Amino acid sequence: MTDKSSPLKLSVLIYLPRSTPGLAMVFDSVAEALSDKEPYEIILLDDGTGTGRELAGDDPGKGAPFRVVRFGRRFGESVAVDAGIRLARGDTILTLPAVRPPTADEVRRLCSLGGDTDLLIGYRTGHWSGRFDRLQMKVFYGLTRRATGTRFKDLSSGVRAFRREVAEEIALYGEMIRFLPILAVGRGYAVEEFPVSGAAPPGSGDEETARRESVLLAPGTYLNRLLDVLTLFFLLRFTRKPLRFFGAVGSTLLVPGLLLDVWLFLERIITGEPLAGRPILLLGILLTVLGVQTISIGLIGEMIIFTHSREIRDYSVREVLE
Amino acid sequence: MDIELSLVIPLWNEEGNARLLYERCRAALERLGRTWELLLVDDGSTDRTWPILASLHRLDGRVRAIRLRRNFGQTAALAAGFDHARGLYVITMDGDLQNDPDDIPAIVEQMDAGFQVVSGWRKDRKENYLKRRLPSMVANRLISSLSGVALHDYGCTLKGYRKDIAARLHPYSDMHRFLPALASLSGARYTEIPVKDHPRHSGASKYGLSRVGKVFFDMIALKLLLHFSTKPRYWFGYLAVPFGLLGALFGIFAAVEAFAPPVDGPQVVFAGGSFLFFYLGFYLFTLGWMAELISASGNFRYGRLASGGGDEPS
Repeated sequence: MTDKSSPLKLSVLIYLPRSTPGLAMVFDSVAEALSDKEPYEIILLDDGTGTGRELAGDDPGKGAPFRVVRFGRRFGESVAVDAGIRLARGDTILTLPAVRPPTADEVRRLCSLGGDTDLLIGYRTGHWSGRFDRLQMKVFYGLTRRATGTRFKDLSSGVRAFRREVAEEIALYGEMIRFLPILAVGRGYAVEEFPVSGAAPPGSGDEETARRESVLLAPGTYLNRLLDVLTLFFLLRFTRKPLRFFGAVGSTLLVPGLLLDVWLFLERIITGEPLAGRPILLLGILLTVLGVQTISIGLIGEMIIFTHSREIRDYSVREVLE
Repeated sequence: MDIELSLVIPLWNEEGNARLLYERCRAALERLGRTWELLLVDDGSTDRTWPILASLHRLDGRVRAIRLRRNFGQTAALAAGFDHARGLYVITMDGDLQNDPDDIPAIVEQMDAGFQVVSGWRKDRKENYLKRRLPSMVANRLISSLSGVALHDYGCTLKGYRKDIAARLHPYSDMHRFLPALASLSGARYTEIPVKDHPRHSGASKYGLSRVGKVFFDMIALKLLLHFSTKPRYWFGYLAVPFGLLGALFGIFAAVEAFAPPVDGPQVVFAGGSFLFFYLGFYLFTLGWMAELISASGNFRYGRLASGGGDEPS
């Protein structure tokens, strides 16, 4: 066991959203891949299952320091990983899913993080789920690539390795862990992808997922994903200059609205056509109202950013030579 | 001993200029006879700029090199320089040698005279008239009249800031043009001096006409920030009044129409217009309170600087 104060090389975070036999397989893979390497620790993120408590006595880390973070209810992967990172003592952080456990080779590959790579994520290959499931994912990630100008094939495998500073610079709230690679690219970090086998191994308790044919998710999920993509688009381009976005959108509403109003007004004066009989006046006014409203939201955004400009660091330093 | 001058220079793909830049800056700074440091900020160059900066750092301990992770833009690079600068005066300069290091002594002289911000003015510009000089002339006029800060050339990177004012500026986005205007918020004394402008020594220029649209919205934002950040309720209040009046006007028309036979529907249009305008007036009015809340919860320091001779460098 390592001394608590000494810096560790690696912290392995295992995310456990539900009780699964796959958990034991993750421990095996980690032990097989890492036991002869640098000191590491394992932190189990027990997202509301209660399994972790039973485990703690059995030395599941096989000699490595082992800790459990238990959540009273399910908070989701972002919150769990964020809490894990706060506790982790390693410079490099690995996240592994207990559902669809990674192989020892995949863990080894994650440990190769270094050199010019700051973040490494796995993308699932093969028949990891039914055809329809995979199609849905393809569409979603296609949209994400379009909106963000990145080229990630899969953001939900849960298999990641990153240097601690990446996580410290990027706030992981909501579902943001999924988009960590995209946000990291935005801050100038080098992100690489590598293939992981998609199908769950026998005995992991997830074999039936691969055979699942057509599963429609709840309608709310589709809406959430769409909102996620739009938010990313905005976050990456306009967070520091909200008026550039809202101003452009607002002007395209306001200008036609004003033109319409002016045209109706002139027609009233010249031809005497009564304004009250022209319902299109309402459209003109509506556009004007929407335009002013959108632009003023942009102004509020500018104020928020400006009054907090002390906290903004609009750059990310790679190296300083003093 | 404290460092007196920090020269901050952002560089982006300037492998052809970096060495010459260093030589000329060193020559100019040494003539001044003060302690100095040179902060070279590599803004995500993809060419050999960084190895050159590293070798300059090994050669001369007064050179500090900062490497950003990717190209974040000139403002962000300047912000990085501001955050790392240790000097009493922070002087910023272009990395492409369009500014002349020989103008630095004149800036220092003005700062010694008590000015907290000294801005360079490229009186005799060497660039394409239609593509660069005309748009920037218009932009300069606009910024000047919007901000009430009387300078001729906001785009010139060669500027000097006293440390206390540099620490209050937190440049983000494309704000570097507006820094003197924002400095005036804290009551900084500013002036400008004519500086030389050279054609690029090496490499291609990195600006184009495409900035015009962005700068337009940035200027509207600047107007709001400069004049209403501390009392936004007025600004939104002023906006709300005309819409409230329009709503009232339409409402009156609707009422008149409603009571004047024949009743065949046109009053609905006026009533609708009235509702929409009233709605917008009310919205803007309440947004003013929201803005007050934001401005009260922020942490920007508007506090005035000790003016004049109080905390002059000795």
